[in-house]
Amino acid sequence: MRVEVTFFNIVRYYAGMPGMEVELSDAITLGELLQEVGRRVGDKLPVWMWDSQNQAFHRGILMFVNNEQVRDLAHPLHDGSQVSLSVSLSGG
Amino acid sequence: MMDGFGERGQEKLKQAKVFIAGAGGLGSSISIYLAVAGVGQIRIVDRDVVELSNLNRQILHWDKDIARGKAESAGEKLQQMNSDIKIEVIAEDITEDNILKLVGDCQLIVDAMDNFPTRYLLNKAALKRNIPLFHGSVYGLDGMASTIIPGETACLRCMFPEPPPSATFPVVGVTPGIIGCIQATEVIKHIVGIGELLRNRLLVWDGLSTKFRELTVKKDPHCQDCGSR
Repeated sequence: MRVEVTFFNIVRYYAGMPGMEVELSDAITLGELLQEVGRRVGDKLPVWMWDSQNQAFHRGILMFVNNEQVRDLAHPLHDGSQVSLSVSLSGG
Repeated sequence: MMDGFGERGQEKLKQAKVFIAGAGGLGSSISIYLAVAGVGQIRIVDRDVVELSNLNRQILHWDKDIARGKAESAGEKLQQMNSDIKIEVIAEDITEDNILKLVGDCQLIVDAMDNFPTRYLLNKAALKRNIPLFHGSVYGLDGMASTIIPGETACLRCMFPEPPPSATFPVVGVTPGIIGCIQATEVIKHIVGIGELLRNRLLVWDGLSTKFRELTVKKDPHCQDCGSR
């Protein structure tokens, strides 16, 4: 199955790309997808986004599946799922 | 003539009293459009002084205003734009102790701040007073906006449970102009009672690609600010 990942705003700036497509042989959860995303771009992300020791995104990362906010890392993904990652912005 | 607006809508704007937290980039565009729209009373709070580096985006403040208080500078310009409305300026920090007093009897809060600790204070005040909060934030060429209706929609903490780290941030001047205009549009629609607000909708502006995206946000039943509401 194939999942499309979009990076918004500061995540995109650090990752150096607007997103990626992830090809998977099996159905996975959002948490498992995020681990795969972290493996690919985690070394480019600041420590407040990606915790390389625990191989996990921090709680401040906003997760959306098919444009809907999701908080549960066990959320199942399907072929064609669109995952978006963002952070809150401070500037005013 | 627009359906639902007209003289009655204009009268509603005249009777409205709004609280704008921040007279920076967002606060400039928001307050200008609310003032010229005829919002009757605008209270704007900012304790900072104008710096040269602000002038690319904080369009209420001009070269001659450098080192002057932003609240005073904003109040002077807004009053010149519309002498028929009441502008109140307050040069104070917004704190947990004074926020409810600052908001006073304003019927809504506009978030034009530049830091999350104060944004969370605005969120709590909106929940406590049961009044809407109009959120906007920017970074570089990117921005976000959403409208929070206490008891009905996700609150700011539901959307953003953790703040980004405190740091200086780049802002291209047009970005707060775009997001501030969206916030002002939401405020005007709310006051007049027309259209669809950004309820449970996070509007994401990607200035690099010139694209808007709309994301659905959800109330968090475990939210530390609104979970029991």
